[in-house]
Amino acid sequence: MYRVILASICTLAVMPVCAETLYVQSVKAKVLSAPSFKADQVLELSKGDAVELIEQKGAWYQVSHSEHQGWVSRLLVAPHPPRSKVSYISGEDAETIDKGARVRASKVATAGAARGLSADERRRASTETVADFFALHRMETLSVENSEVMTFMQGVKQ
Amino acid sequence: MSHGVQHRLLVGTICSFLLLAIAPVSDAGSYRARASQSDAIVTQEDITADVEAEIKVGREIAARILGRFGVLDDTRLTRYVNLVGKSVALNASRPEIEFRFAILDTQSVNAYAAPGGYIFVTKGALDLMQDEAELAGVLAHEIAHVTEKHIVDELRIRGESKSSSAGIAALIGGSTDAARVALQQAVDQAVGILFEKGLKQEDEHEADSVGTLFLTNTGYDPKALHRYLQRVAQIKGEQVEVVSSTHPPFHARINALGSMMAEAGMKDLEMPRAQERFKQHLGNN
Amino acid sequence: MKINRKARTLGSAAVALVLANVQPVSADPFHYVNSLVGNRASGMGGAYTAISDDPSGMFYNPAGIAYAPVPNLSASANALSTTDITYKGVLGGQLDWNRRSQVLLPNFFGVVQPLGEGVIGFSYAVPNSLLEDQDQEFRNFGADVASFTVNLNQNDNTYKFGPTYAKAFSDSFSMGATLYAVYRSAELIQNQFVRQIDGDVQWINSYFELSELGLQPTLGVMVSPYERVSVGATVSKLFILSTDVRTQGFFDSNGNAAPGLDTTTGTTIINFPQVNTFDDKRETPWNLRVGAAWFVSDSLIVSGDLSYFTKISDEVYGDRRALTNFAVGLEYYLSPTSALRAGFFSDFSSTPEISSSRVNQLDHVDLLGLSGSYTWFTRNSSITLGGVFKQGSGEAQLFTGATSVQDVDVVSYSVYLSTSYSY
Repeated sequence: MYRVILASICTLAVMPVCAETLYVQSVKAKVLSAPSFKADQVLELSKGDAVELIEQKGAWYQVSHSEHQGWVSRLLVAPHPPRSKVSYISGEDAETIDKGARVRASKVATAGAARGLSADERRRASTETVADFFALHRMETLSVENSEVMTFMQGVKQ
Repeated sequence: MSHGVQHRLLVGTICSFLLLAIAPVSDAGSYRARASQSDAIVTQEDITADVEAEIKVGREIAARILGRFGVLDDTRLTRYVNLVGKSVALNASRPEIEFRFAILDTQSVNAYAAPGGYIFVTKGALDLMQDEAELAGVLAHEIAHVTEKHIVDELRIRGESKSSSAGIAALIGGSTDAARVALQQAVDQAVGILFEKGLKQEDEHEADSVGTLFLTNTGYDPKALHRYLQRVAQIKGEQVEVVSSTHPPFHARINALGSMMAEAGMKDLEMPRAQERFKQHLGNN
Repeated sequence: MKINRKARTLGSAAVALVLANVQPVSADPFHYVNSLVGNRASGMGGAYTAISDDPSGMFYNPAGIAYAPVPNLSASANALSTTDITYKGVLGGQLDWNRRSQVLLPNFFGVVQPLGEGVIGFSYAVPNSLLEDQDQEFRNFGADVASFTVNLNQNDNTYKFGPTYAKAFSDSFSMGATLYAVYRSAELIQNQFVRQIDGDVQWINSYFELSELGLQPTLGVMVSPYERVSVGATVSKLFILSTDVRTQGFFDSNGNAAPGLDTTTGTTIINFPQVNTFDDKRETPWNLRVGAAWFVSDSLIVSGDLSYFTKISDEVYGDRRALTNFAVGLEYYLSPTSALRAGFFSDFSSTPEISSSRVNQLDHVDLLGLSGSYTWFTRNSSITLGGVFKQGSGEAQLFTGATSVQDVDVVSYSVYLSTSYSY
């Protein structure tokens, strides 16, 4: 009798082995038969699809989805479902950084705040004190419908 | 209960306690991390606050980039760049970021990314490109800087926690703020003087690899970014300054990207470059 | 201390009036673990030498901050501490004399952040703090005492502040150093007034003020010999660079001179206040701490410390024996957002054991303590509510020049609220 209790305590205490669920973040993600872009496509997943992680090899994950199994790039999946867009709540377009953002203000003004293709221009870009919020506003309000982008994407042909 | 059974029960209880307490071993050296540092504690509000903080900082930087170079006033071309860029963004990670693109009115050949998804490419860079895949590649590199949070991590951009216990902590711990800010500023000065040139080259390498992957996923020729970088290196030639030991020459990046593509099996892929469409949009200028 | 050697004793053995040999309640000279300092360390009884991976680590083992899991951190703590001492049956052989210190103050803050390949930090700690303000009157005790009034004001605070730098040379080895500037300020004012039944009156007033300035370097190492096990060691010593002491004593009486006084004329005796200054520096011990911690999982840490202080020979301020304090502690996470800590530790007296054949010996009370705390976590911050309880019994020789020994009970408790941030 006591042995049964002991056995069940010990079993309950054992940590279950979790199969990790990953979710596709990009609008589409190809699952290939081998961890290489030369391999054949097994299936194409869509944003939000859930897969079970089997193994990791470098930048590739071996995953399973329904009855299919294959390799997908690590960069396109994450352990949480895709998040909805965060919109910026615009306050005043003040020059000063709000302390609530917990940013080291002096760092923003120094090199490295912008990332570019080549380094030589970077420092000059960010030490300037002139800021153009009008142009920024126009950049932010340029609206491109998702459907338009999807159509455009389909047009990627030689 | 007999002594034998009592003994076994005790051993069983100790076993259970130990089993409950001992979690699977993670990587060496990180055993110091406590349960409160795991992702389990991160709430949806925390994540939203983080992204809002990132966008807030990113806008400031974006405004300065625009102010420095000036924006190119060409709605049609800007729209085209946005369509290419957003196509790549859809095939990347971090769907919570709204990526936006603008063209800088300068003949210098460059592209920039600011946190929060503000991406810029210069007119000079556009003139150097030969097809849409190359444009997509350059934008993908910049998008990768944002998806891999290179700048967010370096600047340690974080959102404010809005919970009440965080508020109480702020209230009680207020006396440390002055010391904290003072130390931070002192260290910033020191770091600025000593390490100003130390921008992480591994970030650039990572943006190249990750960008090329996004490019491929979108359906463009994976070699496009590599090809473009080679052309830039040729043209820039002696102009590329090697400013310090932490800044390897351009061709180190090209070589690294070449190796990565070979390993990933991208080299033999024949995929579209969309040359026609590119020429259509740029030909008018 | 010199002051006590010069003070006067009043009364016969039966009256036993005292109290010229008043010792500080709980502060620095007799114990080495006066206040536990730091958010996490306090909950764990101070068994922190092998952990020390956050701002409070700068106080215990500077090498630890090289392994802070989040690079930028700050922390602060505010504590309310109370210590009660009871000298049993000292007044007229019947009444207890109680002394109490109660103090509320911020006793720690620290910040750390990366610098180059290492970590730099700055901290401020108040490891010793006492504030005693006592006014008491006793009536009709002993054979001949009508009333005895005692006023006692004492404060004794030690402040430490300074920088720390630490570097991890690998996942399993780091070194660090803290350099504290140390300032101690102490003051003891006593006033005692006795009226005997026969109308005689005696009055003592004494004043003692001390300030010390010093430097205390601490060198630390942290090693991880096995996965999930950390071992730390530190060596530290306070070097006192300058001391200023000022004492002043006054005695007055009418009626019959009591035995024990210098003068024997039997008439009204007035001693003019004598002001003495001296700058003898206190001898201080070397402190070697060794600790081990087992990071069982991301929810449980168990740790233990031993802290050894060397022997001191000091003619002016009194000898101290070598001693070893121990501490054991644990930290257990109930969930990712809450944790419990508990600790058990010793705070032995550094004074020699009291012998019945000597006089003017210092209080000797060995203390044992328990600590506990509860912490709430958010992603970037935490808030902790905790308490420390210490208790012990020992002996004292209150009466100058007399070999009698009194029993002493000490109870000390403190409650603290502390926070930490990552930024």
